[in-house]
Amino acid sequence: MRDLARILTITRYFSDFSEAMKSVGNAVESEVKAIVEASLQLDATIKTKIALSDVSVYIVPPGTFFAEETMDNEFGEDVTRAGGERMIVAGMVKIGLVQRTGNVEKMLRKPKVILERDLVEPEGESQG
Amino acid sequence: MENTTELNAAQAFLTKVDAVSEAEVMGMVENLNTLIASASDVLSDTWDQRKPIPGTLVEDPDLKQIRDYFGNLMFEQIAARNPFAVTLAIQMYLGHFVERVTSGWGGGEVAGILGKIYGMISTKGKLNGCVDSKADGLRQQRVRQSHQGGEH
Repeated sequence: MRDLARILTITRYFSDFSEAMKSVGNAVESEVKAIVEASLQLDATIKTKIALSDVSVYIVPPGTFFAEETMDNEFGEDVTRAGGERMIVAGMVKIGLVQRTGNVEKMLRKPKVILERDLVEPEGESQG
Repeated sequence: MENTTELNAAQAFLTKVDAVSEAEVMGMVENLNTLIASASDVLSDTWDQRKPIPGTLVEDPDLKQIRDYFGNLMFEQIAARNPFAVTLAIQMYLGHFVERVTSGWGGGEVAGILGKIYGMISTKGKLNGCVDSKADGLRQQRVRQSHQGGEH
């Protein structure tokens, strides 16, 4: 959660890191508890109820090149080679699930990502 | 005879089938995604109501690490308080958080949070009745281990 507090200092909503940490701590109490619960439930299910338990959560870090076989564009469009240019992932909005057998990865659920291209609204488009 | 017993045991292991449907697991992942999206929106909105502190951002090694992680464009959008970018950054971290919880515990911070939950489990029993006893037992064991690990 320190990283979330760092984000708050970058936005300058807090100038003091310890104050940001305190705010994140309060938020964690109320908002993240349900996520911990659901994560533990998923973890337990994978480990106890799936025969081939080499299944894990799949994350796409920022800066990754978009690849249709391992991720989906949140806005639906396949942009693997849009205009011949490789698209860069700005962040991930939905986690995925992968099954690894040796070196082979089978995507059970593709993560959904936002591209850098879509991060900034083009000028003029916000005007009704 | 002994070999036959071992063979039967091995076959039983090899023929073990999933005790949960793919749809159920996907439902859990989808539930997590909904929770992450909801939490990110709430956290982003909560902090967005604050007035930003005047002044310029002083980059230290920690902030450089975040810039390196997100890339310049995303970092600048966060610094400019683009709500979309801030929410996306929170989602990204919560995604990593889930990854850490489900892939062997990150210790430290995770243990701290889980410690609070373990306290609730210790005093109130189950948090809710949605998890079966086998999974619940495993969870409590893991939380306890993580809690103990985080105390050092």
